[in-house]
Amino acid sequence: MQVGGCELLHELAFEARASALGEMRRQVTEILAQAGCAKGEIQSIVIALNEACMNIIQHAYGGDSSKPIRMHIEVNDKGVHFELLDCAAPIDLARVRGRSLQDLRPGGLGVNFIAQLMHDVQYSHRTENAGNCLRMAWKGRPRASDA
Amino acid sequence: MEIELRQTGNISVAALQGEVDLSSSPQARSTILDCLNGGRPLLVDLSSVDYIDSSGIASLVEGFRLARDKQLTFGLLAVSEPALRVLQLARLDKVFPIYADLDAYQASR
Repeated sequence: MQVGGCELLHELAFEARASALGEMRRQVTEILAQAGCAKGEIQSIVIALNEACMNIIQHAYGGDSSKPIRMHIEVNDKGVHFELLDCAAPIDLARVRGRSLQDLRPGGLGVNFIAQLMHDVQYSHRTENAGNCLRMAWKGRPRASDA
Repeated sequence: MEIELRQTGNISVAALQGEVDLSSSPQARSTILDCLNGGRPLLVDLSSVDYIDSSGIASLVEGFRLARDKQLTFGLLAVSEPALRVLQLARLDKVFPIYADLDAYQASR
């Protein structure tokens, strides 16, 4: 982690199970609060990250809780950038899309939430290792990164 | 997450407390559906919900749809700010009947 300049890097790693999500949310909340993000901004980012992790747990890994999720968080003067990595089989990127919110049925909301809350959302396949990568950003200016 | 289920007059109130997420939403879903399958109208009190994710919202949607099929009352009580935020993201804040409190629900009848 580089503290002296305008950049903070964090890495979280946890197992792909539902019971790990609460601790993930608390760690991310702490990191973003230390970075100077406001409460409402933190709430939005945490909602999006939680949904992204849920999608990995439920869809990419299909409930295999022994597999890892890695999260990279970079805070700089342009905002907060996230990278979520799994080592699941490559997902069909064409099928990662939100559904109509007019359709009143349970499920399928996570991609909508992420799209509404975050910027520059990009799903891709990892090239060096098997798995998938989700990059997204929250574009703001955390107070702690002010020069 | 904790759930307190109580009977108030002819309606059940399920008060969810804490974080309703992927690990706890099955319990919320079960409570909601069991209550409605028992033929009891239901209000879900969200005043003490600190966090709810899309799996928790899905449980509410299932309850809403089941209640509609059974022609039973289903609504939300005293929705906390974090829960309202997520309902708004799902565009459900205009779909679910939402009441400020039990008095507001009873006054609406």
